[in-house]
Formats: sequence, C-alpha cells, structure tokens
Amino acid sequence: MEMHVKDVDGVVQIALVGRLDSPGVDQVETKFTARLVPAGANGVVDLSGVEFVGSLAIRMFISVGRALARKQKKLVLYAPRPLVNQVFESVSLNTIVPVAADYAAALAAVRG
Amino acid sequence: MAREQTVLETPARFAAATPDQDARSYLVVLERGEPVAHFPIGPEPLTVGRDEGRDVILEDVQVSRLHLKVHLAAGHVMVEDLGSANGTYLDGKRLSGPAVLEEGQFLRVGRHLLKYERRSQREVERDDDLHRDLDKARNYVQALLPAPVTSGRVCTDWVYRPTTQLSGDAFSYGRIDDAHVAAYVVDVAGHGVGAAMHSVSVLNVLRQRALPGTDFRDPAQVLDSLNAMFPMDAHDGMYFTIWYGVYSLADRQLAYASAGHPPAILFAPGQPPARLRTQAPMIGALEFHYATRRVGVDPGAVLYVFSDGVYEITGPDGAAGGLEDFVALLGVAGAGIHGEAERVYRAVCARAKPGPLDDDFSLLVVRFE
Repeated sequence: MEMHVKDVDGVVQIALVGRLDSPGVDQVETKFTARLVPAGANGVVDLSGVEFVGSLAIRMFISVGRALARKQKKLVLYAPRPLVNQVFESVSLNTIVPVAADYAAALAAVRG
Repeated sequence: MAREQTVLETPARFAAATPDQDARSYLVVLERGEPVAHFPIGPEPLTVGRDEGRDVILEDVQVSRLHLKVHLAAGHVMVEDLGSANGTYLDGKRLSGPAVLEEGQFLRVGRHLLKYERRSQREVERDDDLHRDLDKARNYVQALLPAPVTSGRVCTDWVYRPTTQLSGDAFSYGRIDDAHVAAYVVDVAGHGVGAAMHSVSVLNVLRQRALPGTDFRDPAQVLDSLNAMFPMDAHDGMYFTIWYGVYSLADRQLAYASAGHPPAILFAPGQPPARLRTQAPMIGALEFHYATRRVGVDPGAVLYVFSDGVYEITGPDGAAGGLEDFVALLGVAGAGIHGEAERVYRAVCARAKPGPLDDDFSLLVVRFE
C-alpha cells in the first residue's frame, strides 16, 4: 500500500495506491490520520489507484472525516474505481464522507 | 599438566542460549498469517490430510484424505507428498518427490498454509494457551447461532466460516410472536476479538429484544434503536452493517430494512431474483432515520441474507469478484434447502484463489413454505 502526500494551498492532497484491505489499512492508517487530523487540514484523497476497499478502510475514512468535521474541515474522496464505488454506495458512505468524481469536483467540495 | 579454568556465564548469555537448547521442530498451521496450531515433528511421520485419522486434519475439499507427511531424518526435516490430487507446494513449487524442509519455509496444501518453525516449548505452550482461549471465545460465539430449522412454514439453513478464529459477523432468526418471524445478519467492521465482542453485544441485544420502546416487528424501529445504542464514538470507533427482516405469516409479507449492508436476494418461483435493501448508512456512523420496505413472498420463495465476505473474493487470476457473480450462484431447486448454504459456500470457494477466503463468510438461507 502506497501513500503520497502533498500540500497545495492549504489542502492536503493524498493519493492512495494498492489494496485497502486489513493489511493495507494497517500500513497507512496512522500516517493518513496523522497527516490530516492534528493539523485540522482540509483533505482530498485520490482513490484512482485503489483496487479494493474493505470495512476497515471505510472505518478509517469515516473516523478521519468526522474528526475533521469537528474542526469545521472536510475530507473528500475522489475518483474511486467502479468496484470501489459500488462498495461506497452499498454502505451509503456519501452520506458521511463526500465522494467526488474527480479532482476538480473534490476541490470544489472541500472549498464549498 | 592439567590446567584449571573458571568460566563466568553472564545472564545475557544464558538467556540467549536457553531458547535454542530447548528448541524443537514444529509444523505450524497458519490462518491469515497467524499461527493457529503447532504440531511437533519427530522421527515418526506426521501425516496431514482431510481424514479423521491424520495427525494434522485440514477441513478443505482441496486437501486429499492422506495428503503429505513430514518427519525428521538424519537431522533434517523431510516433506513428501503422498500422491495427493492437488499437490503440495513448497515455497510455491510443486513437490515431485521427498524434499528437505528448511526452517521458515512454507507449504501450500489446498487452501491452507503450513510453516516449518523451530520454537521453544515455552513459546509454543504460550501460543497454545492463547489459542485455547480464543477457541473458547469462538465456541461461545457459535453457540449463539441458532440451529437450522428443517420443518414448518419457515425453514432455514446457514454457513458461518470466519477467516480468523473470531469474526465480526453474526446472525440469528426466530419468532417474535405467533405471527412474525425475524431474521438478521450483522457485520462489524474488521476481524478478531474486538469485532467479535461487538457483534456478540449486538446479537445479544437483538436476541433478548433489549431495545427499550422498540417494536421488533418494525425493522426501521429496530435499526433506529440500534443506531442510538451503538454510536461509533462510544464503541472504540466500531460500526456495523445489518440486514433485518420480519416475515408476517398471516399475510405473507416480508418487511425489511438495511443499514450499509448488501441486499438480501429473494428468489420467487418463476421470477428473477429481487434485491432487497434500503439505501442507508451503517449503524453508529451518524444520526439517521431508517425506512422499512415490504415485499410479498410467494410459497416456495427462498431468501439469501449474507455479509459482503461472500462475494468480495479474489479469483485465481487476481480479479475481484462482485455481487452479481455471487447472485449467479444462487437459486435452489427442489423442495428443501438442507445443504444449500454449504453448496453456495463451496461454489464460492471454487471461484476464489487458493487459500482462505479474504473475508468472513456468513450466509443465511430462508425458505418460505
């Protein structure tokens, strides 16, 4: 599981690559949370490189999304592959953490 | 002239030496990379297979009745496939004759992974104690699952196969009153002890109907009450998904609601499968009011309720399975459903890559007579 981070105009941009199953989440969860929550930064997450998301990945997104919401900040996911998007739809993730089609839509959502 | 010598041993040296002196050879059965059983290897052959009489019994249709043997010979651990149908793989290569097993090497046998390790007796005993405790916990969870119902107006069958000793999946069913039968499947995010404890809490609340002011015949009320009782923030960040249905014997209506859970699939005779779910978030994630839907149930209809682990599998080519692949395996012929859940489980395993399935497999099958 790979995680690439950059900071652009106050928005933390994270790209995840690989399988977000239990071992994958184990590898990135601490870094993912630490990069976003303590700083209280808006975050957009590129999921185009993610092949699979399991329940622990969803839990990670919800936990970070809620922690940011308490600081009046947003976490927006974008560009999920069709199978990953199916999982998001099945758990209605969009009601808790916004899921955008692409980077531009994610930026708009985070600044909106 | 003989020379006397005094040797001072430091505690550190003793500490380092003790495990090696005590170390023995073990064949270790792994599940999801974790050791679940240790079998000492000695000069007498240690047999591995599916039959009851083997030293290491692997319940796996891809394992032959007598599959392989391991033993010590001239200071080496030897492994030999005993003509198994699907072969024994040593670090990925199929064995064609007796081979030396080096410490740390893996054997692939059907869906199972075995490892050769040298461990001290104390280490093994400590691991075994832990696994005995986990076994007790697993037995408790399984004792909560209801027995299949083989006669009456509503019959049931099920399969429950956790990927680890303890799972976040749970399910149950039973009469609410003379006219209503409830059935539900719960899936707590994650695996292991924490997820299992949470799923048992939820299961016991539902079995005891311990949700104050809740009409258990109304699925939406049940989900609303669970959502209020199990917020993530108060439960170590854990959430769960659920499908909950109530069948009315009087008017043959099935009321249902789901929270972040895959749809249940209803097969009515002569009709395409219906996907029964309500679009709603998982339990514990946010304040939400769930909705109940209803569907008529024809005599002979069969309902499949399951967790996502039944279809989130990886094929031998690495391709991910999906819900539609799973639905294509469903649909029962004939009058009974006895063995239907096991049939589906085997069909899913046959489509998955060798080794344990990626997620817990819980499938509940209900037939309405």
